[in-house]
Amino acid sequence: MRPIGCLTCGMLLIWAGWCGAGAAAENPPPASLEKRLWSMALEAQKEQERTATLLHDPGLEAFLQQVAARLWAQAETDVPPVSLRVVQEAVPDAQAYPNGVIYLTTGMLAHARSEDQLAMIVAHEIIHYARRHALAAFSRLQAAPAAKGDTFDQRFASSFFAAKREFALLCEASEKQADREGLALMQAAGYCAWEVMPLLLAFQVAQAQQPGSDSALPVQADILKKRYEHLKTLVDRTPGAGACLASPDARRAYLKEIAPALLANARSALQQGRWAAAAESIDHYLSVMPGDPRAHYMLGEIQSRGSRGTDQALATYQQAISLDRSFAPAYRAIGLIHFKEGRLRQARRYFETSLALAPQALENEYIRGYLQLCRD
Amino acid sequence: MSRLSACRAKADRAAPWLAAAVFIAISGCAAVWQPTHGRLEKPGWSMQIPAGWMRLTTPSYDMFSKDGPYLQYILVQDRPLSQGFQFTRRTVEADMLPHEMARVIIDNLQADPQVRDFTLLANGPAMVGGRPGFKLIYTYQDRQGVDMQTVYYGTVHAAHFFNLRYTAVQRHYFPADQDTFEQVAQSLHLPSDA
Repeated sequence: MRPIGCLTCGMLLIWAGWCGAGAAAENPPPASLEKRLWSMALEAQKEQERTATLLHDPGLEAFLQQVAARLWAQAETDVPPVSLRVVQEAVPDAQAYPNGVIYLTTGMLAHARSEDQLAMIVAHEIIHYARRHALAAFSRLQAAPAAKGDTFDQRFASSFFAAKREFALLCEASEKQADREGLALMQAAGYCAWEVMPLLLAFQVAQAQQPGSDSALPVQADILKKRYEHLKTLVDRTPGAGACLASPDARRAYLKEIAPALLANARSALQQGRWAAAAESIDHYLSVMPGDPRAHYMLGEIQSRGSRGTDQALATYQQAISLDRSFAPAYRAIGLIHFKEGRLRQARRYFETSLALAPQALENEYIRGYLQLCRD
Repeated sequence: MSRLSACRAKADRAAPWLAAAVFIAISGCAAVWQPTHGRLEKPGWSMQIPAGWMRLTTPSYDMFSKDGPYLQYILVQDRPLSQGFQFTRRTVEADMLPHEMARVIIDNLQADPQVRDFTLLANGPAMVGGRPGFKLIYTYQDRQGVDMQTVYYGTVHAAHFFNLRYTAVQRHYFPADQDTFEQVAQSLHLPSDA
């Protein structure tokens, strides 16, 4: 379930390119077309895996596969089962490839607040795959409407815009089907349909943020609103309103399962300068993994680089050290704060400790330079 | 009409088009890449340009190349500190230490979809035009799958982030002009902030 619109269709535009002329659409599409689509999808997937950083964590992968298997057991389809992969990327996104590989970003996993919400995201993508939406869109692209007009430009424009319109309609229909059947699939698998509404609401809240802000989603509000209303109509028909909503313990259990993704998401958001998103992920991570010095260190990084101030960061780095007395990055970070604020004697002590603890660390050449300045 | 005169008539008709095409081609080239040599003096910086390199000036950077920018180039950029980077929401700030500036650049490179298989070979402090800064050496593959290597110097100067980099195809071209680039970097002068 990509909040950013019609995902499978969008990918297809890239894979298929623009094909202005072609044979009339056949129903079902010929096997050769599907074969071609598969080979294009494999190429696109290779490219995706070359450019994106995948998160490999056996525990997380097992959990995701378990959710997917529970849903898959209820799916009525003859296509091979899906497999899930996680991309380290703070922007929420999910993509289903025509060969059943589903990519979820760490941002999407962090956006969901319960296993039921994750199940809806996965179920939505499963429907895209099982109903061969990519193939339908691809075959529609191959069968562009007849061009009209006297000049080349007119013919191109009429053909292009007619196809674009048809394509948009197809995308909308595909998304509706994925929402409707995805919801039914998650319910059949024993997940709580009512959990979908807070998920959609969270997307709407994120969308309404100031453009360019940390958590803003680049998606049209009216599209999200339509999907919210469509899903609400479906959920309202579900008996036992709200009775199945996830308990705090269940939400906590979900956060524990996706903890590696939360940590990776905080790192990715930190690199991108999305301080609020980074802070949210690390806060959730620490709520279930309070004894991890890496997370306290990362929180300190967010505090010192963001707007929470150096005093708070100092306390957080100290917390990391209290959990692991040999955690060199925290010593280095404290040394840097003292150094920047002119407390050179204190900076020197922390720099020396960090160099002694991690003599091969990446930024040591800088630290040695700063240490020299402290001694001078 | 003889064959010769028919041909001449065709040539007469074609001449204005041909002239226009030649003019566009020539004026296009003249407006873009220019021969350059000696010391280049700009408002915010100056440096020695190696003999035989061509120069391209745009509002946001100056580029120099000997064999064409697809094979090797030196790029000089003097960007306001307030200007954010393309692939992250980060900016270089005036009070940043050199390693912090380097982090901003590395994070932006890692987020750049055009930069694949990014590998950082060196990351350390360096004097850039007489100011404390950083030097990175990294390799990557461009969109065409060509292995490239870059040396990147950066520093803060007069409310600007000044950066100077040398990028070339890793095989043959990068080592061929690396020393030339280091001489260019050594010749860099940044006037005092005052």
